[in-house]
Amino acid sequence: MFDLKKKAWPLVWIGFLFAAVEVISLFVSDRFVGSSRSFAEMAAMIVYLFNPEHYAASEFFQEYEAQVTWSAMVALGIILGSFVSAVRAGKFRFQALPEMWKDSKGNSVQKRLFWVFISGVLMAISIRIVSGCTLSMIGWTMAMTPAGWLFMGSLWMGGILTTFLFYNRGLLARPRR
Amino acid sequence: MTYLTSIGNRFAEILQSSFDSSVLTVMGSQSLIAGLLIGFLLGVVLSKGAMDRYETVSGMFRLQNWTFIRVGMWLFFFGMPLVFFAQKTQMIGSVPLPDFKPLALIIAGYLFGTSMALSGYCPGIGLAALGRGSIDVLVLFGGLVFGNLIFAEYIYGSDFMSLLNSINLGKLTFSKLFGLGYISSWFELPVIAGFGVMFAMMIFAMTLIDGFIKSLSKRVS
Repeated sequence: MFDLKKKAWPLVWIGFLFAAVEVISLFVSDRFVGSSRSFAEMAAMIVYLFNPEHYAASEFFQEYEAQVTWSAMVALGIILGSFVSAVRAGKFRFQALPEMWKDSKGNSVQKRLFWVFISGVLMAISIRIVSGCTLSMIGWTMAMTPAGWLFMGSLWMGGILTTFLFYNRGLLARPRR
Repeated sequence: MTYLTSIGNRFAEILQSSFDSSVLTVMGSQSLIAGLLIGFLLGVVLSKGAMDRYETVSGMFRLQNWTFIRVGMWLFFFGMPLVFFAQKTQMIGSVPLPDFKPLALIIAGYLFGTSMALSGYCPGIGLAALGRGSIDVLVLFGGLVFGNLIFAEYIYGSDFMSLLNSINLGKLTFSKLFGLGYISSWFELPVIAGFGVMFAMMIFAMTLIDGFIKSLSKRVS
């Protein structure tokens, strides 16, 4: 039924399986799935390696320790799962420029990497403010809290406005299979 | 040379404290094995749901791609009652709830959406994209680590954060919002039912629209 060789599964199954993975995560590890903490921990590792005095003195790194934890393993697991799925379906491909990006912003790899970097910096700051990203937001919503919806609404506002400003005339995407 | 040795020592320390026997269990909130398996399952789901690429995220913000909406409707339609009843039947322990800090949520959400629009990734989607071969995600990781360093240095514990955290309504749920949740969490059930009806209506509407578009394309071709 769940054939890994298929490129895509019907979205109703995806929705159900996603919910099932969240429940499995709650059952096994008493927490919703999330991996954004692993990047704070990676930052902690870098500071610990090169400036241990600063690491010891910082309150932030008391909360986010320089360790490989559950979050980091989830992150590794996502990469592996996606990799296995992509290879089985024959859609693994090295690329740095998504097709839709090329339509809107051109073929410059440097431009793409520059904006991806900026995106990462802003993303990390926003994640740390609420200790959560989209996966956490899904968890909050499933737990029947208004926090998930408030975050989702603000996310949409920021995303849509930025998209309109950033892509300007290159907004309309060419339909693709 | 001693500088390099000391770095090497600290690296070994990190590995030793990370791979302690207490986390090499199969279950538990710190279990490394559990994390890996759960992540693997999620990676497959994200991959098969096309939630591992720029097109899905940016397409959503351009109002041209509805994958996340479609998946989300089913995800919450199944997930909300699943989580509630799993907790009620004691299959799972208490569900971790966030603090409801509206200022922080709005500012962080807006900034997060902005960042998603620029790259078409979020951490989870980015990881799935990396598994698919999108190596620009490695630069995203660099940005994420750098951003965490900036947060640690300049934003954590600052007056700005105190301002954002100033309004904190605690572990709010919908039933508590309506006041009844403080009596019993069973009052969550009508809220879940309400959401379920809303999602069912959206799913029904999208199915009708899909059918209509299919019939249009049949007429044209």
